[in-house]
Amino acid sequence: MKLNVEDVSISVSKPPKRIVELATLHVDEGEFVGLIGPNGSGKSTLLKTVYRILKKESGSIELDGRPLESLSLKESALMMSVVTQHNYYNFDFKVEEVVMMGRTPHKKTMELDNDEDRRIVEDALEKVNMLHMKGRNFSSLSGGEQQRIILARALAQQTPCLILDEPTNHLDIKYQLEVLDIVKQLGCTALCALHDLNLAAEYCDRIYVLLDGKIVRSGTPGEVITEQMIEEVYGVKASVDVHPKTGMLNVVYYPGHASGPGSNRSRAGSLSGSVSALFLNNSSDSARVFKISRQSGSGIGNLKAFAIVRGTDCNEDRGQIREGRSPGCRDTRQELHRHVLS
Amino acid sequence: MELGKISTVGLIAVLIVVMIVITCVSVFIGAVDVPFDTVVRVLAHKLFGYGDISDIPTYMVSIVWRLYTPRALLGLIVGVGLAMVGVVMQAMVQNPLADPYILGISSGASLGATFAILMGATVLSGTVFQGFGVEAFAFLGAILSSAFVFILSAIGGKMTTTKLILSGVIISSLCGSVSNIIVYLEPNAEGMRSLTFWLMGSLSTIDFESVKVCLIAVVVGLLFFATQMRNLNAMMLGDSTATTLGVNLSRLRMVYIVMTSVVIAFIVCKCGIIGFVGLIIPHISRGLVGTNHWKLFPVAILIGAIFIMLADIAARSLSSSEIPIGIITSLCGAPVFAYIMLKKSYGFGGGGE
Repeated sequence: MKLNVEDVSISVSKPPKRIVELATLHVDEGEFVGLIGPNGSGKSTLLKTVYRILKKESGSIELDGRPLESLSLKESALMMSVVTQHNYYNFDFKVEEVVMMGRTPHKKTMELDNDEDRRIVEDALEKVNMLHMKGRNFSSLSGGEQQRIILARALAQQTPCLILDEPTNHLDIKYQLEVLDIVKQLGCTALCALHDLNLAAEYCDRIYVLLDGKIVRSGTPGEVITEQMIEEVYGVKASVDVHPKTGMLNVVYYPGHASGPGSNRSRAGSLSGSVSALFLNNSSDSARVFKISRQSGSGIGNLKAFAIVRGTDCNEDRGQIREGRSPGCRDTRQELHRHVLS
Repeated sequence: MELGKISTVGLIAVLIVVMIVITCVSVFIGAVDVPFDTVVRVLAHKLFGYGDISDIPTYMVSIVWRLYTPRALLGLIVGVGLAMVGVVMQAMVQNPLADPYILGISSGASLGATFAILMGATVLSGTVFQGFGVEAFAFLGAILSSAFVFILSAIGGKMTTTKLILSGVIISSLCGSVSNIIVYLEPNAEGMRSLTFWLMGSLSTIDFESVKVCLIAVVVGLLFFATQMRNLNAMMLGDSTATTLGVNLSRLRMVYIVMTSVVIAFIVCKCGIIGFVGLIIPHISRGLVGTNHWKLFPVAILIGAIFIMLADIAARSLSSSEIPIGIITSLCGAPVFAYIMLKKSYGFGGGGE
């Protein structure tokens, strides 16, 4: 089963803001595709639109070549299952019952659970190593155990496509690997938002990088996960090497945000003699003036900037441009990338 | 102390037997003592055309057939209705504090009743509404208030459970204050008394007509919700999970609100506000069989019926004059509820401790 997302834009109405802009991604039959990007970059929003919680503004999403809108919720639930990062229930169910809910789209309204369903549920629990917890109350489990039960429910749904929104949150490293191993072994079409770049490098066939609602990079882990990307997208200095023992990409972050080795303060002193740039951002009614200083010959990691923004909640920011919530700040970042770096 | 599958079936069987026994007991009990054999003979004759009852005084026949029997049946129906709607409401708004009246239906009905009892005669004389009684206005108030709650929670995009509950609170307090204005403007001692009685709920002013109306509403509701076990379960997992399991929540909520409102409006307009039942019966039942609606639903409606019939028996036999049933249900319900709340094994869901 293929998943095609074409030029999708998503906006929220209050306050009016575009969260995802013209995102295009493809997941081929049996491919494990990762979606990475910093907090607030629109990963979850994009995934929620794919699994039909949010409505897109424009563009098209196709599942198996059929537009999502033409499918009933039940039909799409037979094609894709979802594992999300937040699962809190107001009422308590047994573990077994939670997993059994995965069978919901397969059943008619009055149809009872049969032996086949019970076998599928047990298999799913077995796969995530939780069969012994079958009779426990869901709420009595730890966060990591709950996460595995949610994965089991998705497995019981038996869909050819799986959407995962940070499925490894709350999990010990052993279970992080286990969860991704399970998904990988299923061989189904998977689209997975991940925080951990090492895990992304290890498991994904291809990766898309989302920054401020736009897909800024895509390709194989080797092409995408680079020191330059991490610095540009996450604003963190890191080294990316091939690990001598595993032969896999290994990302190591330097301490101290955004600035690599050494403190902000000491480097702020070296701004003298830097290049300054002034430009106007006309995207909103209040004029914004940005003064950009850049040390000659350095990348964005060394960028020092402060923004004087009138009429917004982000007044002045020294050092890294703040990732504020106001649209102005976002635009600023984009603008900076375009003007200063290119 | 949840029960397994076999014992759930056993529990349901036991509850059905208990329910039938209590329905029978309920038929025998009332202000006038009717001999046991008389009751049996009247029922046998009326139900199955068996035997001859010409030797029984007509007033005895009327008492059994026109007074006690409909009352027992009404208790049964109302209990089933309240428990059913309580279960559905708690699933629909995903909140353990929900009861059948959470969407403002009781205060809407109260406003209708208050208006009809205290102001109706003077304000309405000469208009088309002249002939409308308390019941009609209570029904109207109930339906209108749910409609307003529904509209209010649907404004501005997505209908969320929080918006539903808050809309219920808003409409409730609005209706409550309008009721108070009416009470303030029309301080009429006799009217106040009958209003108070109505507000506390009663199965006393009853005939076969009322039973029929409630029966139809509850049976229609029952037939519909009996097909909804899977959807109710999925709803309990929250909006987004239910959606990813293929459940169309926005459409279902709409249908559920309409169905529950109509069922409760009929019950409220005939019997007033019988509190606490729709809140505690689902919790008691969950304590016994868990959250899964396949088990919860049948157990809850049976316990609901039994509870209301017992409360009604108490209401008419504890003192020489009848006690409003709402008082009994709250009086007995509160300690039972406190017990399950304090019991360690039942956490009202979400984490428990």
